[in-house]
Amino acid sequence: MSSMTFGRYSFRDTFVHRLDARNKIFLMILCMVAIFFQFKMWSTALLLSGLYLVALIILMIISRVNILQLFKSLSGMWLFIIILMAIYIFVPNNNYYLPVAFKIASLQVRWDAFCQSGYIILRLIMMISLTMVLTSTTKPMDMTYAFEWFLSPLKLIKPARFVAHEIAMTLSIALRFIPTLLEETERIMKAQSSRGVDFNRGGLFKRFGAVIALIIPLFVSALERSEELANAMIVRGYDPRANRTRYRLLRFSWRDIIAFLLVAIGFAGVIVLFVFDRTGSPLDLIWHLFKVKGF
Amino acid sequence: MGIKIENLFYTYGKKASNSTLALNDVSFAINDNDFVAIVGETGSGKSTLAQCLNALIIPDKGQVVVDDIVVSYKNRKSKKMRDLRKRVGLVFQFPEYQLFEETVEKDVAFGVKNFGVKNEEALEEAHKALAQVGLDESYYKRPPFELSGGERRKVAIAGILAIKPDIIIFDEPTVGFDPASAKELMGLIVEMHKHGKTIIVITHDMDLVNEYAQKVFMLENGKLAFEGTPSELFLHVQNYDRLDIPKVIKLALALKEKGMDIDINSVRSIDDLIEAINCWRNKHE
Repeated sequence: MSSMTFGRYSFRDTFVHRLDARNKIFLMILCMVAIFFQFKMWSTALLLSGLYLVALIILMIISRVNILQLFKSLSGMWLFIIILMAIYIFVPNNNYYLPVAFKIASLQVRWDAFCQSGYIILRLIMMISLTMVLTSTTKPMDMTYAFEWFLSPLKLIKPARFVAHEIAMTLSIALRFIPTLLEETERIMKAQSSRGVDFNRGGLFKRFGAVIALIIPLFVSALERSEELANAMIVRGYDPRANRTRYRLLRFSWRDIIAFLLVAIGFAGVIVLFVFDRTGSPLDLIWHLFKVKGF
Repeated sequence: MGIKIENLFYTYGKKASNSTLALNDVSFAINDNDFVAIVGETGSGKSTLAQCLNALIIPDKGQVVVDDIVVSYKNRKSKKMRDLRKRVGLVFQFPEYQLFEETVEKDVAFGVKNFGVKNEEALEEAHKALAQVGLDESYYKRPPFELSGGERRKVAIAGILAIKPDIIIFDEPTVGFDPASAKELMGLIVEMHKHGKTIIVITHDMDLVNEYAQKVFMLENGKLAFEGTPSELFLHVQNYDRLDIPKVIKLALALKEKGMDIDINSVRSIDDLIEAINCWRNKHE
C-alpha cells in the first residue's frame, strides 16, 4: 500500500510542473466543467470526447505522468462500471432510440444503455486523469498555498477572517498524513491478519467485519495522532491568527499566460458548441453520417 | 514442532528503482520450547523475518517450515497459511493499537472466532487468556479504550494467547514501557515459556536478551551475522558500537580484562556478577 504512486507528486522539471499552482487548479476546474457539459447530440459529444482525449494524452506526455500507472489505478473502477451499466440497462428509459442490442426475457436492451454509460465512464476517467496530472505535478504545499489564496476573499468578511489560513493548514496536514495513514492501515491489516482476519476472502458479512476491524483502530490512532500533533503545535507557539510571511511565493509567469490562453480558447469553443447544441447546429450532419453507417 | 528457516530472501518494492533487499539468504532453526531473541539495528530485517514466520509476508525465495506447513512463494496461495497463523502468533509493536471491540472479552475472543470457534467457547478461551495475563473478571465488560497503555497491551497479548499458538513472536514487547511494567510483561512471557510455548522476541534491549534469551540471532543488512548464546554474542560484538552491551556484561568484561577470572556465560544479572566476584575472591583468599 505504501508503494501506491497514483497521483503522488513526482519531481520533474516540465512545463506543467513549472506552472503556478493557482493557475493549474483554476484551469483544471475549467476543463472539468467543459468535460461535464451535457450535449444532446452524440455527434458533438463524440467529437469533443475525442478532442479531450487527445489533449489529455498530450498533457500527460508533456508533464511526464505515467499513463500506465493511471490504467493500473483505474482497475478498481470495474465494480462501478458494472453497476452503472446495470442501471442503464435495467432502468427503463423512454429517451432511448438506438436499435435493440439484445433481449433479456421481455426487456429490450438498446445500444443507448451502453453508449450513455460508456460516455459517463469516459468522462469520469478523463476527470481522474486531470486530477492525477494536477497532483503529480504540484507540490502538496503549493496546492495548499493556492487553496489559501482562493479562499483569501473570506478575509474581507470579519467573522471568517482567519478561516482561509486554518482551512489551508488543515489541508496541508491532511495531505502530509496520507502516507502515514497508509502505513498505519497496512500495519493494522497485518496485525488483524495475524488474528485470523482474512481481508481477501469470505462473504459480504465477513468482509464487513474485517473492514470494521481495520477502520476502528485506524480512527483511534488517527485521533490520538491528531491530538498529539495539536499539542505539539501549541507548545511550539503556533497561533493560527498570527500574521505570517512566506519563504516561497507563488508566481504567475509567461508559461501561465500561455496555458491560460490555450485552455480559455478551448473552453470558449466548447461553450460555442454547447450553444449550437441547444439551438441546433450544422454538426447535425455528422450525426446523420453516423446513422447512415448504422451506428 | 520447531521452525526451520531456509535460504530466505525478501525484497521490498521489487519493481521500484529504490527496492530494498530486507532478507538476504537467511537460514537458521528454532527448536521447540526455545526462548530466542532476534536482534539487529533498525532496518536489519528483524520485523520482516517475523512477518515471514507468520506468513504475512511471503518470501521471494527460500522457505519457512513449521511442522507440515511450508511458507514459500510457491505455496503463497495455500489455505494452510491461515492454519499457520493459528500455530504461530505474532504480537506486533504497540499491539494495543489493534483493539477495536466494545469490550475487552469480545476483543480477546475476536481472533478465536476468526479461526472457527463458536461464540461461547471463544469467550471461555478469552477469559482463560485474560487470566493468564493477570486481568480479572472486572475487566471483561470494560471498553479497551478506557484502559491504561499497559493494560491495553496485556489485552492485545491475551488476544494472541487465546488463539493458543505453539510459537509466539513478540516484536519489541517492552517498547514504551517503564521498567516495572516491562519486567511484569517479561515475567508473563517467561510464564508462557514455562507452559511449553516457543518464544521469539525481537528486540533492541540487550538487558532483556541477556536476562531471558537462551539463544540469539543477529541480523545485519538482512543477513544472519551471528547465532549463539547471549554471552557469546556480547563477546562477539564487544567492539561493535551499534549494539549496546548490557552494563553488567561490560563490567564483567572489564573485570576479566583486569585479571579477574569470571565466567561471562554465567553472568545474566547484577546478582550473578556479585556471585561470580565472590567466587573469585573465595578462590584467591
